[in-house]
Amino acid sequence: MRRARSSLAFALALAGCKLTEVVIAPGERTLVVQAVIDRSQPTQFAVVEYSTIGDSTINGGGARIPGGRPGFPVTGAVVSVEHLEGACPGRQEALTEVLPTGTNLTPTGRYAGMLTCLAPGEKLGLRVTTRAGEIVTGETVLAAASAISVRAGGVAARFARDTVRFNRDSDTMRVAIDPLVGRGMQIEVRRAEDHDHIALIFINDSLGAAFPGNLVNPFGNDVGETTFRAGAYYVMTVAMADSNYYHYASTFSDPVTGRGFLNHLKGGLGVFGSIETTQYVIRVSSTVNDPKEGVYRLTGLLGGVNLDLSLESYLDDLSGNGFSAFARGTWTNGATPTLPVQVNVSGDGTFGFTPGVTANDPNAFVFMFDVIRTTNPTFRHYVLRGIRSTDGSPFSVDVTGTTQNGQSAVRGTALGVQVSGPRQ
Amino acid sequence: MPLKIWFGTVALGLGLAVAAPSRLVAQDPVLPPILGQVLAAKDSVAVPGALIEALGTDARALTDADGRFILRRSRAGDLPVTVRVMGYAPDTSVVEAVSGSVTVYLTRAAITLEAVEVEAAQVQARVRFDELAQLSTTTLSGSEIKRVPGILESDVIRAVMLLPGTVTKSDYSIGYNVRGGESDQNLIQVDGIPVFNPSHLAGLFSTFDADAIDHADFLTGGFPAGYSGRLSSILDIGLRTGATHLRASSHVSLLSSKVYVEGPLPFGSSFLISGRRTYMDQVVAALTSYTLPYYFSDLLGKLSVPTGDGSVSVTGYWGRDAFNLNLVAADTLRDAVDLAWKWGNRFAVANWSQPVGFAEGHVEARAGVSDYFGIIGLLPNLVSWDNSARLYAGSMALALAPWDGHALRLGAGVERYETADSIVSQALQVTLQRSRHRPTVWSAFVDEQWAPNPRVMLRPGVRVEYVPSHNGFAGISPRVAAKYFITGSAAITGSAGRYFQAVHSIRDQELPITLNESWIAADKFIPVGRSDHFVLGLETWFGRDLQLTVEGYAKTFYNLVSPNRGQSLDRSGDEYVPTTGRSAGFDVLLRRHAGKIRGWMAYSFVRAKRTAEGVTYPPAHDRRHTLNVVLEAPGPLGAQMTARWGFGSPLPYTAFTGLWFHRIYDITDHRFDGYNEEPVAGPRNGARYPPYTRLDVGMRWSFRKWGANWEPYFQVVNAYNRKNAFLYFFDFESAPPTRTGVSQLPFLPTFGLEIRF
Repeated sequence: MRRARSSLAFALALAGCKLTEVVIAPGERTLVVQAVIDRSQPTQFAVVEYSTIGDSTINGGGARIPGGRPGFPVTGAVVSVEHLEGACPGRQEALTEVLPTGTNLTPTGRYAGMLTCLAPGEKLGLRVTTRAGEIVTGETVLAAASAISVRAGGVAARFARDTVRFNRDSDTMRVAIDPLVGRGMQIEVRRAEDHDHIALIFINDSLGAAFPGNLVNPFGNDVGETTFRAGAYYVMTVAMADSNYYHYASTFSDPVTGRGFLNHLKGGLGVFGSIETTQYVIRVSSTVNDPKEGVYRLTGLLGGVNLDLSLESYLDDLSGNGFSAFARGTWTNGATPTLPVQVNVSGDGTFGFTPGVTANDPNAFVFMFDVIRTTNPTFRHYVLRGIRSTDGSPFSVDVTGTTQNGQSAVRGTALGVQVSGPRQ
Repeated sequence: MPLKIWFGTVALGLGLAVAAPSRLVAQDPVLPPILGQVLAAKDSVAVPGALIEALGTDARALTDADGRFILRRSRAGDLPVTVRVMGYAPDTSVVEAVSGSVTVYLTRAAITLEAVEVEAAQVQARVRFDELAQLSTTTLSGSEIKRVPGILESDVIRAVMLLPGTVTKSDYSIGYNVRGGESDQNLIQVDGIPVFNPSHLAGLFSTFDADAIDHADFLTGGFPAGYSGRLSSILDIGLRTGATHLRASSHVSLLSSKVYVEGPLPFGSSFLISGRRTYMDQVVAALTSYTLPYYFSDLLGKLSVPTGDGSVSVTGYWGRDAFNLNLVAADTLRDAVDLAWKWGNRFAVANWSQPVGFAEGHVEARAGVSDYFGIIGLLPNLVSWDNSARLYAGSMALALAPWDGHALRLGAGVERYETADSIVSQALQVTLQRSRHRPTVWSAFVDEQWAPNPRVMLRPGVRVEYVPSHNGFAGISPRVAAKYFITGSAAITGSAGRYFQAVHSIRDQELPITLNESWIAADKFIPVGRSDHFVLGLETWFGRDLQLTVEGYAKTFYNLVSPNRGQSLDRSGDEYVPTTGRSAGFDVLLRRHAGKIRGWMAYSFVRAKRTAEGVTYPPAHDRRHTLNVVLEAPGPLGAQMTARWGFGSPLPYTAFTGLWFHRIYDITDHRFDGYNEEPVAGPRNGARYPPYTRLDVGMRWSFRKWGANWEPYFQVVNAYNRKNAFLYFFDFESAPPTRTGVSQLPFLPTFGLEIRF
């Protein structure tokens, strides 16, 4: 189907012209405090920073905190948390400034500490006082869920971090929260191996949602992006949230009137809210129709390790020849000394393309997966290349492994064979 | 005081027109009026809307739906009267001195529409001055509406936006503000039925075909007790009726193509039908591989049938706008995903009027339904925001002249509103927001006009409204208007009244553009809005054609509705907070109704304030000075030229003082990851845009060829390409900070062709 183009031609004709750029005077800085009490975490933190008013060309964002830092951090502030009501009324605790380390001495803008007595329903008060005498205060009641239900295909998750099997062609994932304290819900679904790959973020106050397996993100690519790819693992995080966090996450100031964000702090902008999170693993599969789909088995000797890896492969619904696969079995640790490790991960690949092959072959493939471990080596990135057989006979698979810095760690050849699925 | 004049002028929206004697305050002795009737010669069917002039005097009148008129005598003796009306040959009859009545029979003949139409409108304005204690009212005829330069096409609301008392926040929408009120406080009705969102193309044009409009009455304050439902203004549009010969026209502009047909039916009935559709999507699809994902279409029809001495009319409308952009193609295992925005209006209304045979009485009944829907979202089932409003309305009114000098009108009605607003994802099986409101408004009114002596007119009235769903709300709306004639052509006027409104729009009224209003209605928590008006003015006529009106006013607003920024998820009923306000100002209208050069100059001064959540601020429509000059005159190359020059003093906006980084909390990895850059807003509406000015010019030619009248036209909007500020954008990530923006409409030439058969 043709994608629409030039739909704004008429609107552009009416859109008027650009006005001349003029210099304006900087305004006054606003103190911004963003703190989310997460009961599932041992340490809590707050980011204290200023708004930008155009008197500096510093990039004010800061990508990821902790790890990064805001462009206009506040240093030397006093950040205190008082227990106002609940199990520990009157208790005063502090979040202390995290000082910079290494060569970058820019203040971090982060104030952290281990808070105690974080029981559901505990009412906390935040007070931030800067050296300049600015004061921001806020209150939150710690959110908690009494029960969370996650069901797919008629089967419920049994406990936190349970693996939920999800057939995207036939199942609907149903999530429901029974609140103990709190009124908002947030659900995040990310690729298990790459949390930067966000499949879904959902925020609402109805405390329940259903996600059909064939859900599509219409803005993902030129033709849309499959939300749940068969052959992939996802981590789903379900959060029970208080009103403050819910408003913080679901409202924003519009660029025309500057209004819209529901701010519950006094003396500044931001949030002092709370959540309680529970995580689950989702294993997505689908019906197998294409001859290229199914289970492949890789064997061979690589660096002294007897490989025995199964790849349960599924074509993606939208991306043409793209596919994902569960990689499970015995693999190499990709280090010296070379040792066998058990892996159970998922990765992505493409049929019809092999780098270095001049002619496209629909049975040529490249497949990539990461192995992330808690012991060394902690990260390896593997790439498998080859041309699958259409008659079920074994075929050669080129294996390379690199470190997270891109340095070569392992190279060799394995033997692949399709052991199940439709065949040509 | 003749009943029919007062009643008929108020009932212009029903297509009725009544006799209107001129008022000569200084005349003495009082001579008996001439009572007459105008009938078609062929079948003795009554001829409404005929213009009667007593030659050699200023006396003029119009016939009502029954063809009757009352013409005041200004001198004794035989009196020649001329009768003119479209579709008939003029006739001059002599009314003998001793006779008190005359019946005039007209024979059918083609006659140009415009001259009579304009004169009728002018007569209506003077009649209103002479005979009614009703101020703050301006009437535009159908031909005047078509002459005002517009954006791509003639538009009744764009013409109304140039009248005194109105402020428009941008060129891009037809939303307007009247005497400091919000845009959802303006009642727009067609043949008596309100229309909720009468716009096409995201508010750029109204839904009304200018060809079908007979007149538009615009009341900016002091509405009589017969009007209800809104706080700030009434735009009462009457469609054409009583066509006596078949007439068709076709119109092609850069925007749309249109066909219009009107004509007679058996037994004195008449009809009109108009259909319109944009065509650019079809052209783009035929000529290119691209898709223009937008179109609109509408259909309007009216049937008028005489019922003995009375008449019945039925008016209906259907309109739809659709924007549909496919993002994901459908497959066997999944639905398509389309970014879609669709909205539309539908209404149907029946009006019946009938003389009752006593006290010069007249009964009216009306029943109608009006419906609006709007959907925006990722359709068909990913997420959609639906807003709809429906009104069922019925009313009856009885008009009487029980005693000399008194004209009484009594009425009652019921309005049932049904509004629904929801954000739903069927795919995710979740309702993000849902509200429904179904109030019923019961009302009754009494309205009387009384002339205790030739210099004074009084018009007291009262309206009672009962809204059971809002905690049994009962509102009493006293209303009064008065007029004191200094001379026969100058009068001091005044009015006061209370008004209630049971429906509100939850659209952010501070936005500089009105795409569509999103309607909710009064319930247990949502209040009934209220406004009090006080108006004092002076109206003067210089001759027959030149009118000067000056009116000062003060208005209060209570129980307006604003979204509650601090609403709690734990509580129902705190989604909206009440807002109060005030406005005061004055309007000046200098208008020449007839002649080679005619038009008007409208100046408005207003100061408005709102208070919500403890903060007092000027609303976005608080424009101190507005000036519009609209002129029509013969132009070069045989064209009829129209021009509009407008000036507006600065409008308020909220300046931004900085940028903050609204960080996104990653609940999976318990960190902040990414951010949205959001403005730090300064004082609400504490800054002002630069002044606004714009010149529009239009030229229209007319010639006859192949049995049809051809009318090509050419218009230029913003002839000197003034960059009027529309929106500002701020950059606080550079040093020093800067501001840019986009302007309103640039220099925009348009052209089109109208063909009339």
